[in-house]
Amino acid sequence: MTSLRRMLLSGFAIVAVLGTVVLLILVGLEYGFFSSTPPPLDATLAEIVDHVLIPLLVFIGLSVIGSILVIRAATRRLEDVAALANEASARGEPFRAPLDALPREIHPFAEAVNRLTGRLERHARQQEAFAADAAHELKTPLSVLALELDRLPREDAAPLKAQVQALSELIDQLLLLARSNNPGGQARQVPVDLDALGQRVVADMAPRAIHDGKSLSYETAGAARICGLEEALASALRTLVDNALRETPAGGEVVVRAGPGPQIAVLDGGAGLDAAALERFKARGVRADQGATGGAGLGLAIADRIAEAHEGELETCRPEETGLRIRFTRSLPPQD
Amino acid sequence: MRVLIIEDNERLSLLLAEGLARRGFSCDAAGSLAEADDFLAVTGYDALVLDLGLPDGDGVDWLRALTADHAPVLVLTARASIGERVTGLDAGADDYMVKPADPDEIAARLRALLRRPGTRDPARIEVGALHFDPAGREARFRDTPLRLGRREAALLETLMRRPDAVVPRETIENAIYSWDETVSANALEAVASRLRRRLAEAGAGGLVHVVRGVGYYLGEVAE
Repeated sequence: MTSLRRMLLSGFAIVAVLGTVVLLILVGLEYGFFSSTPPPLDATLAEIVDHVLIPLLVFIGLSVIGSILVIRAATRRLEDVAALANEASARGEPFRAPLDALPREIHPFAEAVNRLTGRLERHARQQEAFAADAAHELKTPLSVLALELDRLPREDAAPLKAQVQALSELIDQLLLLARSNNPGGQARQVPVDLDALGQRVVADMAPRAIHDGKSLSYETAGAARICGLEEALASALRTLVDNALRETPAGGEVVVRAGPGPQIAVLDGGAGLDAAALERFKARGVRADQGATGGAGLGLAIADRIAEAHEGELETCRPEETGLRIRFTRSLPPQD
Repeated sequence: MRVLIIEDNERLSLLLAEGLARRGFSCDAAGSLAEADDFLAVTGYDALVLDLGLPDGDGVDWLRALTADHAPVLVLTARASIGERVTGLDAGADDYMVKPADPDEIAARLRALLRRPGTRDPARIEVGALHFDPAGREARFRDTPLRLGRREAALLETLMRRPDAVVPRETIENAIYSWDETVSANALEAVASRLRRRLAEAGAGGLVHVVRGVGYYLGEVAE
């Protein structure tokens, strides 16, 4: 689609050409250019300049300036509204285009867009409510199951308990995903410090890593703050660490590195996923080792969706390093 | 120890009562808030286990209305978000656990609630076979005393007070250095490595783990 200004200028060019022709004919008829005894050429040209070219140039020149000013004023209002929309999106808030701030001609379009965002928000809200209900309904039978398992001999129950735990974590993740997709919901988006997030997740998960004979550490490369749902981001990061620990042989090390800027990486001591393999896991929700010990297969796919809901992307660190990282496209300004 | 379980799912409450009984608690089960009030009017309990979504009301409101001198309350619910935890704890819950919870952990947290008052500085800290006497600043592993310097002892004490968690470096530095001491970058590493050596000499090697970038962690200690 070409710009309004270009459409207007070509319109004026056509008007100028047509106007010149029509005026030339009228002036010619009036002064008898087309009769058997036309006036001399000099006088003819002077008549044409005086009565055709000068009035046309003045008229068209003023019209062009006037129209450009009007268009500029209208686009400025559109730009202001676009800036408001971007700010709302950065804060994770819902947005409606303010109709009074827009020219009336734009109203049908703005109303249609508002209706569409309204429907999307309603959809996100319903999804969150459904996920919350489902999580609540699923957890009671899971608790019963966990307590039934408690009656079995300890060594028989341990692997089953781990599965119940993994299932429960998966339910939590799905609920957190639904919450991340509903920015207007009850779970408010807040500034999240990626440094603190990385440290917290490492502190949570290090005991298990040490128990398995692996080491987990944290480093910072100057991370930014982003706006989001901290629990959901922590859950996505835990999935990556969990995955990395599984990929890493005993004695190996997994490093969580926050930054530089709005990104957080989990580097493993294994072979690492390349971009194509990662895309497959994201799409199919299968787990890297195809195994069945703890953890359900959807982990990476959910982590990716959580990243996406925060305007980020889950990507591979290969070929420079082996591991996965979440890179966000938007960050908050640094704190004073 | 007498515990009242307030939970509307009968199967769940039966199994929980049974599981806690195996761990030395004696339990009564109430299926609604009204029933819980009846139980509480008749007998005293050492602790309450409370589900939040009950047929005759919300556990949070009930918790707010309890008298100030009530027994410690452990909330056990499917509501898992941070906001919901904060609401529960603000309403007066002493601890908050999310379903499905492991019965071992429920029992451990109940025991912790019951010994909470006056136990902020127990006479003795024990983790597995590792013992520490905060007053005498003495430590031993099984029957072997550990000869620790002042800072090594402070590090061991800090780690033993939070045996299941990674203790942040800053917390440790605050515990082992006074405010006017300047701490060099690898001073803590030196203290940790001396502590590791002393522990290894006593037969408790491989206990003090560093979690690079975060802090230190006391691994599982043999009984």
